[in-house]
Amino acid sequence: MAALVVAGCAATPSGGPSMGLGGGSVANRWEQRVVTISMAERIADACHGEGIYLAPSRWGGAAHRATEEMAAEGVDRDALEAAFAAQDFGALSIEIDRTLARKGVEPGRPQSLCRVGAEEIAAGSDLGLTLKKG
Amino acid sequence: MLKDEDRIFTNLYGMQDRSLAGAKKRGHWDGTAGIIAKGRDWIIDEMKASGLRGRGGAGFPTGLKWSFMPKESDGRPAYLVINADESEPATCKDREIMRHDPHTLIEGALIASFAMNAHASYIYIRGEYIREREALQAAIDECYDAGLLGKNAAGSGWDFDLYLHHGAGAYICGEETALLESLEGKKGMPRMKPPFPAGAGLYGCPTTVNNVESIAVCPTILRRGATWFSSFGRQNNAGTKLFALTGHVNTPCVFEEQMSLPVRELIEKHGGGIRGGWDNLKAIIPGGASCPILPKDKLEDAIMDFDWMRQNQSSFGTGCMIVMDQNTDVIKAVWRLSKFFKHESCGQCTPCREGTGWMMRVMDRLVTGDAEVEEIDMLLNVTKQVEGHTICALGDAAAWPIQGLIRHFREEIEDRIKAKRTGRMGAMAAE
Repeated sequence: MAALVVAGCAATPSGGPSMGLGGGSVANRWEQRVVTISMAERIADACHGEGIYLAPSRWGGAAHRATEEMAAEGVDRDALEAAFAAQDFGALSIEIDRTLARKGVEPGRPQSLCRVGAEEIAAGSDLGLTLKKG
Repeated sequence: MLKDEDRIFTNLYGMQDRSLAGAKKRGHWDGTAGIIAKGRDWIIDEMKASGLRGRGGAGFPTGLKWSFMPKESDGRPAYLVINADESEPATCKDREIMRHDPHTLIEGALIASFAMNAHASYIYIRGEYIREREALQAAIDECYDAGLLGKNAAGSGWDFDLYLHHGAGAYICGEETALLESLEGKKGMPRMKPPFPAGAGLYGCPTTVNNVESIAVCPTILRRGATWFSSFGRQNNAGTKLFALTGHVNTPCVFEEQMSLPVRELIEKHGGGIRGGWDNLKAIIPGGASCPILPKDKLEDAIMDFDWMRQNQSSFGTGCMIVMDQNTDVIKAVWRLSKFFKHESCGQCTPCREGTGWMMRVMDRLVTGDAEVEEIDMLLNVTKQVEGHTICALGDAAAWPIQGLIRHFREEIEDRIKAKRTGRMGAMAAE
């Protein structure tokens, strides 16, 4: 399994989410994107009442979306599918929990997710750009 | 199996681009203005000729329903309301349309609204459908940006606005008049009929309420013709349809198939067969939780359509089937449905408010075997007193699964009671 990476922190100079043309192996970048989208989904699930949603995308589902986004940017599809096939989604889920906890999300307190979501949107991070307000 | 060229939903599994550009590549939004130019009467006649029956469960002919709307306005606006409050347990077909193929629904909303003289339409989406809401709203926004909605929608000369309203998770709001109440900002409680919504619906104005799938299929029907659509299925059960298989099949799925195929064929081709093989099948609930259960001996030659299911004392419903194998405690399964309906009763009608709780409590005892054999007939009698004695169909929906259970599994219920008496209670039922 590819090493899990802390996702959703860095702001991207291009103004859009970074989707895999940066550094690291394809598997690492794909995994980072899946973690980011998954965190965004959790925030949007809890915070739609506060006007925080997933930003529109041509594809749905974290793994499928990450694959299609990176393929559209020119990343080799076979390598992406290999990353998918080798992924341990149980471990990924634990990593998502840990990353959210590091950002200050407290289990059982959805408002902490909304606070993180609003902060990420304001900061224009990868995670913030995967979300939208209003 | 349905040929790929005959599929209406070409992105059911979300593997392709769901944006407007992607939808156009797959043939949606093709010649929409031309369809509208053919006029209201042509559209309604074509929908009637297609034989499409409502895909939300009741199976009322869609074209006929549209024809009930006033031809001329008396000064009140007309509305199309799309019921996307898909809350029937085991039914999960409309969500695939909304999250993966939303443009079929939006294009259908424009055409259907034009046919019913409506300049505005509301989609009432289930509260739990958050991803679906996002995908659908994104698609609506794209359509406004592209001129497919709003003034002179799609160049048709028809002004049309489409609004998405997010529900709050109440099953009863899938009942069309409760949905209208909720949309108006009131408590979601069904209205007495008459007046029917076509006369006085949303805000007291002429309204038609249609299921998502019923609206989403209409552009393709009108493009390809009523004859094409009606060539699938038996007479009075025309068309292709989204089905779903859940429970003890090897590959649970949502799929598009033609109507009137054998139940066994659907389960074996699309569901990968019953877990443990066909002989391990115990029963199915054909089209959502409210449909009476059917045991295996009824299913050898069963046909999955409206008429066969009605003739065999069940219901086609939404076409989303719950499959149960021999390991299933069928009494407990129906008890769980009773609990669901009790929880979801709005409490407006006494037979439903009191009856659903009463039925559930007797079902509690039937599950554990702590009942008298005479209570089975008493329970059946109570279901008959609830059925048909309420404003909406939730009372019927709560009664029918129990009636089906008693009709087909009375011996199993009696055996459990006797086993409890003699101390032979199985571990599963005693849980």
